[in-house]
Amino acid sequence: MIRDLHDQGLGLMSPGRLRRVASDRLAVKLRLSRQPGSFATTEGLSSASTSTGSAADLSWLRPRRRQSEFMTCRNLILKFYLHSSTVIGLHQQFATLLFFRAFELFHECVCCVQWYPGSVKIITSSGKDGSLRMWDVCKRVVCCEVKPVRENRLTQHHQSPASKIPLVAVASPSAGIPILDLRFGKSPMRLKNTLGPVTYVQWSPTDEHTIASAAESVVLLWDVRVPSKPLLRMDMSNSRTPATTSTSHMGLVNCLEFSLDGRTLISYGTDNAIRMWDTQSGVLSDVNCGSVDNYVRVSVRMALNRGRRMFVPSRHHIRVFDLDTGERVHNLKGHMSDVYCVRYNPHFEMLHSGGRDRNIINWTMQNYKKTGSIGLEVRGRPGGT
Amino acid sequence: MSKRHHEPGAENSNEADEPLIKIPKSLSSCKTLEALISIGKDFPILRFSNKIPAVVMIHQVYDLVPSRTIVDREMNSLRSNGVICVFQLGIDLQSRAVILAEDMLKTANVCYPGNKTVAKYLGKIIPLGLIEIEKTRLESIVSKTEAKELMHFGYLVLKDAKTYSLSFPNAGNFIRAFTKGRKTVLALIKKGKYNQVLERELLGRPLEKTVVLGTKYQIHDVVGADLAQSFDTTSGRMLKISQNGVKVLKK
Repeated sequence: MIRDLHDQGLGLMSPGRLRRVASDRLAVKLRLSRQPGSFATTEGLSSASTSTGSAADLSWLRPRRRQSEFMTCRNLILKFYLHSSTVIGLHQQFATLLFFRAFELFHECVCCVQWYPGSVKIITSSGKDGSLRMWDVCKRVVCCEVKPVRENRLTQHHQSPASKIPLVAVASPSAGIPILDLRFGKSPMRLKNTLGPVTYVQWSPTDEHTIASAAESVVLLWDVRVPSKPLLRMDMSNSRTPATTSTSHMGLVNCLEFSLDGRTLISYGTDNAIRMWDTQSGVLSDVNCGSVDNYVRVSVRMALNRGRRMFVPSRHHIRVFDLDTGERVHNLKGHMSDVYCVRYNPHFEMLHSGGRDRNIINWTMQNYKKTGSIGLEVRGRPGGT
Repeated sequence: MSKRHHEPGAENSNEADEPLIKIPKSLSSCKTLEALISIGKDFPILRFSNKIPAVVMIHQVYDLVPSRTIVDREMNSLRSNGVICVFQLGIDLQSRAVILAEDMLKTANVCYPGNKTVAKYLGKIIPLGLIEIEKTRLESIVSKTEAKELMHFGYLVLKDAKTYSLSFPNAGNFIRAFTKGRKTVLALIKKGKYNQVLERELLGRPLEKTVVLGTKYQIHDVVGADLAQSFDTTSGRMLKISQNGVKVLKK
């Protein structure tokens, strides 16, 4: 910290590093946003099927012009607009949730939703009815529907952000990970030997061929070009030749996340441990984050900011950790029940989180000031059915 | 930093000058080692008639040194330099016991003075830095009769058909005292109003009969293992039981 300030004062800091350092500093200042309309609840919405109504997944979109949108899902997919405006005289932005519109799906329960990388109109969703759907957001119509796994639900899916081809990996309780090509709606390959029902899949953000999968308590790293055998098996005892019984965690693995440079894989499990693995060698790093309460048996989402901070959902809280030292730097309290998903918005340096209490919360820095006669104009339309 | 074998007045004792326990210069200002020595000072060796060395659990050090990553890294370097011995006890899978190498030697001299098998164990097997050892590898170092003798003394424990885990003598007594003391301290914290109690109030209570290892020692254990949370107040440190602590009490 002192070194960063020193370098900044002398002008030795590169723009990328300045951005990372500023992002880390802001991560500690995150608070529950007090902007009117920055707290949304999905309680008032009608539900066609038996659903808990919890916000299971969030996905944010890069801002175009002044709007940024993110969506949440349960058995509905909801679209939220995040409005930002720069007030004359102030250089800081604030964001308020304007309104949302919902469109129903015919999933029993939607488990995962993701914006199509690089597009502002298409989203992909997967659910318990075993189908993967592509939606046109403007027309609210299904473009394409695929059932990659016979007679089984889909727990999670992830589209490769680095690949030019639209490849989607799908996690389901049946063995094997089908990799779908969205252009044709078929799966040209299937990753075999996943060692059990797959709970989570994650593509590397930098490498178009690398994919990580979590099956029960084992984390595997694959090269998509070799679907028969995984590249690496993560072993928590760091033995050179992992035995067939070696596991990555002592419980279920809920979440996988690659660091932004793709060199570290972070896994989070129900054994209350966060483990960081080197993607080149599969070695467990010695960073110890302590015991992080996690008893949720479904897949959760954690978030990373542009610097070295990690936001991990733990019971009703969101814990903020430092990636290098494993130290807990901050604790975000606001949810009234389990937090299921956390997403970081680097463009506004904001955090969005959704949970079992049917609430979506924005976490912002409350550091804007009023100057003179220019007041902050806040536009808000209440959300409703 | 007061290192035991560099204390003034200890020049006559040659026991401390064993080559096995030379602390390298890179570890001379090691926070973990200081924490280990300070927790080890509270260990009641006399209550066990000097037959158990001063055992410190790794998670107790997490209470004293704020960064867990630094503790783990320093533990690994201390272990590779032969300053400490690490053992996996049966309390729970993640907890490991640490004993300073010189304490191991002292206890061996008290329990089994002049025994060659024990000397072989301390000289050849402990420096490997392992927690468990396979039967085949063990038999390449010691003979079968020696292995049986070590098992009888308590230095080896049969883990499964092919592996032994390393241990220290009278580990069973230590584990019994440890788990009882842990439950007593947790029960007292839970009994307090709002499931919390001031640390100095807990230290003021006479608990020597049930908490054999010392209340301060057990507090380090309970906080380091995340069974209780600690936070500072104007009246000192407050200990509050956590969800994991409640689960331990229910077992």
